[in-house]
Amino acid sequence: MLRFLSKIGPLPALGIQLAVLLISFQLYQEFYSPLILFLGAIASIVMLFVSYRIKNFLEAIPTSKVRSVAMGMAELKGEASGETKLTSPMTKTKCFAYHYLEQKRQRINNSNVWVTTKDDRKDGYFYIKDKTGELLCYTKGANLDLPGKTIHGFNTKRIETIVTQGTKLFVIGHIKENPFVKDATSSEGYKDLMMGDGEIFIISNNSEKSLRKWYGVATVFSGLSAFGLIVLGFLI
Amino acid sequence: MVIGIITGAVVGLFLLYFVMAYNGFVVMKNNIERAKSNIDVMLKQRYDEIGKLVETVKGYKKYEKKTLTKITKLRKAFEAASTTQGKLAINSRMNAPLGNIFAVAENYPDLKANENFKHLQERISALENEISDRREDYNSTVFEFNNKVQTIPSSLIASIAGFKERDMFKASEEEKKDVKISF
Repeated sequence: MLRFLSKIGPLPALGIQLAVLLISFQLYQEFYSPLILFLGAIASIVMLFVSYRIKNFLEAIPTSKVRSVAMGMAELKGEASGETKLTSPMTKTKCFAYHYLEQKRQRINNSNVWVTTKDDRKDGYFYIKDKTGELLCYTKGANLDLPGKTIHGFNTKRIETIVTQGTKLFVIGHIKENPFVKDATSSEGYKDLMMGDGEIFIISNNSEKSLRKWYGVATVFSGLSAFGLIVLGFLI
Repeated sequence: MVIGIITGAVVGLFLLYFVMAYNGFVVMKNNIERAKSNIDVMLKQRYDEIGKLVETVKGYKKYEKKTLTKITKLRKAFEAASTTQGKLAINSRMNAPLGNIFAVAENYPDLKANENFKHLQERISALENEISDRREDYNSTVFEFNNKVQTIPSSLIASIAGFKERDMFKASEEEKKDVKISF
């Protein structure tokens, strides 16, 4: 759970926080116990830490150029390139990686809820290319913060998120040794490296500025929610 | 009662903010140190390559002795330098004699065709670009850190916890001279 939260996108973070608030109020109306509000406050504090931590990483790590990227956490800005080996299930688009979801609307506790009935994700390799070079990237474990295509049906919906050729990307992740290189080359060091899963791994087509702003909003929202739930819990 | 509860919640959230902001400063500080070490690694690699270049060129008897002596002196000064800023300054002073070596190589077709020399020339130039990129990374990290140290409310935490502004790496006079273009 914590591993999932540590890579959550800014809008899902806001969504989870909103869900925490709504569920806390709904459960309170059912059980009339301030304990529920305190539990909601704890969940909000967890979301506060998660959003702030990601925001802080985005602030602390500079955006590197591919040719000078170093081992450890790094941010890169570039274009997805390479050989597209996968075909997405919904739009049949050639891509490097995809995440496909099928959801069904169900009524649970007097509320309409989207329940996931199929979750299919395929990861793959691609290059992040900028003016100075291209660095291999493996999408496994990444939060694909990319615009998904949605097709609505009767009480159902299908959502597909893909990493395609030429997509402009902002990526934050962990730089490690490239497993495909046996003898390290000395002239272009970045070819011996690869970006992959780490403490935070986000592949986004939003700018760093926008991500920082939204994680900031999620942090403030979680903080205010925690404050409100604690005060309400004591007052009621 | 109500005021007490609200005050308690505010104090609790402030303590929470203090912990988060403090951790944020620690992460940034560690990143500054990492960025600095990354520059040192690149500088060291460049100086090792320059040493190999000098050895390769030494064989050519007519090669400008003055330039080689200057490079050797600068390498010694580099080894003696204790700060990254000092090493960067020596590195920028090294560019002129290195440029001279590469230019004079045009007069020696066999040296120009020497694979080892060509490789070293490419590597030294590539490393210079990487050093420049990493210096930008360092300055960018310091910029964010200094912004946090100076702006409210994080400046309050910085002053309580003793985090102080850091200096950026500025271009030396030699580097400024290098970008002058004469017509």
